[in-house]
Amino acid sequence: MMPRRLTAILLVLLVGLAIAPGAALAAKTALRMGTWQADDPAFGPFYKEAIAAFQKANPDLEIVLEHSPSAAYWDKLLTQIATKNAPDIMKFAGYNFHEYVAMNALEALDGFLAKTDILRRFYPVQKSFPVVDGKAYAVILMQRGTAVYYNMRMLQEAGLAIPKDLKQLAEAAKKLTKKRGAETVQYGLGLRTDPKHQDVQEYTLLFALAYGSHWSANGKWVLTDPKVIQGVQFAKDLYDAGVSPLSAQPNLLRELFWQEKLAMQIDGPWYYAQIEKGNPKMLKDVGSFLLPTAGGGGAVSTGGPMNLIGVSSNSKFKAEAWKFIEFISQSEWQRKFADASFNVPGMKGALSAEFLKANPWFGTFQEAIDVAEQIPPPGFETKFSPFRKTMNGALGDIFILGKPVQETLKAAQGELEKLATR
Amino acid sequence: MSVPTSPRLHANPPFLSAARRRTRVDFLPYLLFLPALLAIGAVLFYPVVQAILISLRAYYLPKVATSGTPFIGLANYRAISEAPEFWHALLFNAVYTVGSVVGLYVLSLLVAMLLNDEFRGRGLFRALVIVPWAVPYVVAALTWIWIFDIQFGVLNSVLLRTGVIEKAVPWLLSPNWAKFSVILSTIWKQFPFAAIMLLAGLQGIPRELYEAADVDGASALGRFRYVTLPGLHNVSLLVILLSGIQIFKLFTVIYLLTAGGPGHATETLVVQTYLEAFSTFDMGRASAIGVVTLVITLVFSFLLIRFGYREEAKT
Repeated sequence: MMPRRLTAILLVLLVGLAIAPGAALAAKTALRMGTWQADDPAFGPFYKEAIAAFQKANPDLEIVLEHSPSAAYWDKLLTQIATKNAPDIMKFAGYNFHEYVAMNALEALDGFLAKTDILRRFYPVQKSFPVVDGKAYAVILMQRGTAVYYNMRMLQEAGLAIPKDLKQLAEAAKKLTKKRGAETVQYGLGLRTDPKHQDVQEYTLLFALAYGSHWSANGKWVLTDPKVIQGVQFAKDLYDAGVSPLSAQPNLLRELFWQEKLAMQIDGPWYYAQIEKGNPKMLKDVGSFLLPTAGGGGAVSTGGPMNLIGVSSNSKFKAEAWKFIEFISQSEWQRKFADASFNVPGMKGALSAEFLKANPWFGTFQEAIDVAEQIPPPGFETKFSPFRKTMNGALGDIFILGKPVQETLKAAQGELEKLATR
Repeated sequence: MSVPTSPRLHANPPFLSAARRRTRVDFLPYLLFLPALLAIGAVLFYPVVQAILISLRAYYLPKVATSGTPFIGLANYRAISEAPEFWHALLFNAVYTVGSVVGLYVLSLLVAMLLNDEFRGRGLFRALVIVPWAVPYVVAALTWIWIFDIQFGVLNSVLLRTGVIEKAVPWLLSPNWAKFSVILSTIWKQFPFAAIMLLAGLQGIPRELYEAADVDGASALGRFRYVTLPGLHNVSLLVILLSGIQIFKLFTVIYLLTAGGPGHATETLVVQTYLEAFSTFDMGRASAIGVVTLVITLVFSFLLIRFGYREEAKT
């Protein structure tokens, strides 16, 4: 008899123990947030701090971070969206945001935004970039532009000034490339040319922009436009001149730059922190400038809104999820975001005078925001992923296999036109 | 229809009538089988059925919100059959599978024969040969990426320094070299499994047969032709079919090495399925390619089972 009674008591205790924490949790609403930046040294600490502060201010809400490395994040998110199991709060990159809006993955935020002063405090691009068919689907978290990092010492030793047009850039890149026998010991300008890497089309786009054209215009592909051909040909000629390592990926170029084996390399503002980590001694020699236009007198950059945050259309807790977005959109947290991540957030004036004084190199990237062109070809934002695959393939053929620029771009245009009808 | 009955002794107590004993069904085997069946059903059959159903729908994610996922019959199959990329992927899949299987069979047979001989340190070499197989696919692929790197790769460096080549070879960057490179790295990754199986097969060939061949004055080639190869017939068949099935649907090595490029050069059906789903977001067409891949793999599996049973019956 005794063992039976004991078993019953134990069972009751077990059930009680199981229910107790559940009951405590039940009082809280858990909001899932998907991100690829939770372990990033630039962004991770910011999110950790912001979430802790948010939960303190809203004890009934809990943010559960669902982190995946960048490469896996998009596959996971797509699967979650397709199976209607997306996180309540989702982060997107500027280049693929519109694809997810087209998938009906995001909730329109106009009703929430109308009750705040976000549209007044944020950069004007908040009123256009995340808006599709008159509805806003996200809040811009971060903007960026690309610029050319350069090694001042190397330029000075070569008697070079900061290039004012593409001709000067090409001359500088060639002069800064040094060989010892058949081996290149110093490269002049890093060009991202590995067709497997997603960045190839963006970083080649810079040269097309320098000649005056994006990959598309007025809802049509313009890869056969002379300006585009000239831009790609310019990059190809530089590549053929050996100013850059063959088929280079960004991490290789980044490493060569801080090892002082590469004189100029194009990147975003976050790269500064990487130099600081890789070779802090060279920071005193690091400068940056915007890529000049072909004829000079202007500058170009790519990027624009790069990180956006929105609410899943399938979320059961849309108002609660919005609360967190509203929380980190406050001026205080926007400033903290800028300070912690060395990036321009969505809000105007978040970068303090002290920050800019302490980090004068950042001025270039602040200027870049004003000229940065969006990465997805205008009019084809919802087809960015297949476009990128086609375009990277074409650029790989041009750079690596040496196929003629005009014919290859014409063939790519044909493929993209077929894609547009899908 | 035969009904399984329990093999246990005294399963049918003597007090049951003969008629009841005949008709009584023993559910125990079914019950024991049920958990495994449920698990397999949940993780295998359900997704397969879903994939077949999706392949019959227009399931282009960017248009799901506006157009839904209407039933379109075999239109996705028609669309993929009209796309040259699909036929290219199918052809390369065949080349990749045959090339890798032939390469790994030859290599593993050589290695197995070497390891079957008696020499000092044989145990160590037998253990070392497993290494490529034990290395995770991702690690192996990343290692090969660096070996094949056009500028900093060890392969080009060695070949250039030894004067074998005068100009760096674009191992992963030119379509033909990329095809060769993915086959080479697949052979390296897969051959240990085949070598171990063939080694086991070699150890099963009676010594007396070789001795008899020696007495008959057979040369080394003759012994190989008339003793070793026939003795390895069953194992070889198994190795070729198992490796063929595995390599046909191998994703990691190709995706990490080339992502199907340059262009579409190294796209296989599984890589194309992934790209269609996660780059183009067309789940309908991706599922259709997946179903075609499944059918081909099932044919291979059917052959494996059929040959397996036939050989088993022979022995």
